[in-house]
Amino acid sequence: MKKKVFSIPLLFTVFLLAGVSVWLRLFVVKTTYEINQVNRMLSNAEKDLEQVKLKIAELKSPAHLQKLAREKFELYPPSSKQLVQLSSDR
Amino acid sequence: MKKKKSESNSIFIHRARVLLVLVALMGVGILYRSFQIQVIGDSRLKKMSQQQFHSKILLRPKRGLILDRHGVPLAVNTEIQSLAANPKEIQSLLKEKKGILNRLSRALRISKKRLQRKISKKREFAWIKRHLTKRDIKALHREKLFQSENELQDGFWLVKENKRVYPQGSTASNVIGFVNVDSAGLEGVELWKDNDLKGQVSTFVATRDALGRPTFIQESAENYLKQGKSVHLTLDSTLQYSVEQILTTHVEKTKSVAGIVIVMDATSGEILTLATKPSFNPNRRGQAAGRRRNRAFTDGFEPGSTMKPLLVASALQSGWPKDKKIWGEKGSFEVQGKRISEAETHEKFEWLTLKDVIRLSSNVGAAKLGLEIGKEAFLPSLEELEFGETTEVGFPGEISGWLPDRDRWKPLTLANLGFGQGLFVTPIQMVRSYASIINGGWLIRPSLIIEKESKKLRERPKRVFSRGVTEYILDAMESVVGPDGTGKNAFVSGYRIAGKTATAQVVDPTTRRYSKSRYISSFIGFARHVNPKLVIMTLLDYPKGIYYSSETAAPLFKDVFLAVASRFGIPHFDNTLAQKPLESVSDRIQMSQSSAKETPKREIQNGLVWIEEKTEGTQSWKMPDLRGLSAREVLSILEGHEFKVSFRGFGVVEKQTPQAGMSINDGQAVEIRLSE
Repeated sequence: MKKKVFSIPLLFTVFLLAGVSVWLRLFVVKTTYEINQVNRMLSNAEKDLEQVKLKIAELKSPAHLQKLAREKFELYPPSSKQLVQLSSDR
Repeated sequence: MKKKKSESNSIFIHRARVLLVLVALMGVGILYRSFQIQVIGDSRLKKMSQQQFHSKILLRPKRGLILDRHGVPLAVNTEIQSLAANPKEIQSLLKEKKGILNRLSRALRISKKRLQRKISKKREFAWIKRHLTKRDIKALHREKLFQSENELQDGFWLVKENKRVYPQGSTASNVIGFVNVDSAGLEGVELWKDNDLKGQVSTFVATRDALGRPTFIQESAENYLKQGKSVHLTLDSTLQYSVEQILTTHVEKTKSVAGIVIVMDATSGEILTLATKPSFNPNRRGQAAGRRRNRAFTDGFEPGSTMKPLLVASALQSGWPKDKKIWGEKGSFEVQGKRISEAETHEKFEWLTLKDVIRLSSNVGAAKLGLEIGKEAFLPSLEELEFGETTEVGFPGEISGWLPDRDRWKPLTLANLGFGQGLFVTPIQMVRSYASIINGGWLIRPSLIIEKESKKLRERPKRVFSRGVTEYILDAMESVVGPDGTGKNAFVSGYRIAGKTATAQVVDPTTRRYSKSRYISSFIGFARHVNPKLVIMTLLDYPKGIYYSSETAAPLFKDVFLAVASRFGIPHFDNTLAQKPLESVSDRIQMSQSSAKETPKREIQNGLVWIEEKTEGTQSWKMPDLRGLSAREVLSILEGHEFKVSFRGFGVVEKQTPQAGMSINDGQAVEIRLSE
């Protein structure tokens, strides 16, 4: 009687393992793409945040506030005579 | 026939065997090569595979921010695009489309010649223009240099880069410094703290797919990336801005070449404001070196009269009796054949107390005191104050100043040093030494950066003067700002201001003698009995016209002090307003807002006699006789009336226009000719 080298369950297991391996690899690649995509979004959001922070810093700078006060509200820095301190520790 | 057939069969079998052997050998060869490649490995093929599937990704860290003491950003980063090209690749494109270079030149405002030079080099990468503006990008679209929305013509591409931006423009620019196009620090804190700010560039390997997208993240790049550390300055950006505005006004008003204001906490050594003019906007490239340097650290000068309080303090510290008087020599005396005189020829002082030496700013008194305490007392004191050494703030380009060699001290050296000539100091050294007067005698180390584990925190400040000495000096300096002191224009109502003026002579490099027209006017002072204890130095280099410190640096100090007091809410002694009902306070505000002027009384005011008020509101006065008076005395008489006073010559008044007895209106010009 001729000896049976490959049994059907063994072949099935080999094919199954090969299939799982391919699927896993594809899954990892897909997930990596997704991670990269999210990272890119995060990076863009961080850049937007940086821009916003820069804009805030520019808008809050004393030079800008002074210009705004002068041009929009006609406010000027007080002279020393106009400064009145209402409370004193001494 | 049969024999012939068997012969041909054997040849066929023989050939088949040879072929079989050859095929078998080839098979063995292939197997061997496969074994070699797969098991042993081939470095060349491995390299090829790595080049195809793996790529090195360079991660550039973000440069750390520069913030003020309250966390207000002074230097930040933003992403920007730059235009690059592959000169090898675009040569054929340029031949096909000849107008492309003209369009590029128009869009980027770069000459065609310069563009050709950039792309003529035989390499695969060349920058066309770094840091494109929005206008540049629009212009590239307008000139149709984009193939699609985001894609440029073949061989050109946009590279994303980080750009340093200074949101407060020129504010504190001489402290912050600036970076080059590659974000490497070139000056100021950007250069000084470059290693901390820049972080560390990291590389990691990524496997890429056929489209070049990374498929496997081998390592977490973030773990390896060392971002730049942020730097916190001790500066208060709001105060810095106010002080810079004040300094600009005074530099323009006095037509000075340069100006410096330093506000330092005398207890901690933290520099709260360091304003220098001229300054620059670090957002714009190509500013002159003269505008970029920080004069408080890089420029030295002979301090002049601000050395006198330090001399008196040294004398007292060495045991000189407080009540001992010095003979003022009635205005001048000789040392080693050189005549030492008072600043004004009419100043003929006789017996002077130590306080008088400071209050009257007597050169003769200071010179004689220097001679009497001698090298043994004065030199160690100057060395204790660390003149001739850097302050170790760490700021790039700080100079050490200069003290005369220990072995070369002669009587004239001592006399000159007494009134601040013959030594070279930096403004920051002077501020530091004066801080020891207001903080009770401790020599502290100035700082510009807030560091948790700084060297400064580990080292103890050293005591250079006793409390008794500093109190005596403070009293003397307070008299300088009194009604008859040289620093009266620095007086601020409601505060006990103490300070010292200096109108220092400058050596003319061409004649190598003291210039008769160029002076450095400075004032160093503080408010007594308030917190925080702040020392303020104001300096104007080469003020034109009225150059006296009393008329230039002292008023600048007053304005700076008011800004400082307002910023820190420093309480003043005048409680009367707080006790009055609010109605009177608002009345007072209305008065000042409407610039209401009281009608001058019909009496002599500082030598001027009021005549009438003209219909347009200006006042008319009778011109006094000013002949024989010094320039400083003339100014004290004419001050507060907006006269445009100009002086010619040196010495005392010889001629005046308008003449005595003539009428003069507010805002009118007064010409004074002086003669020695």
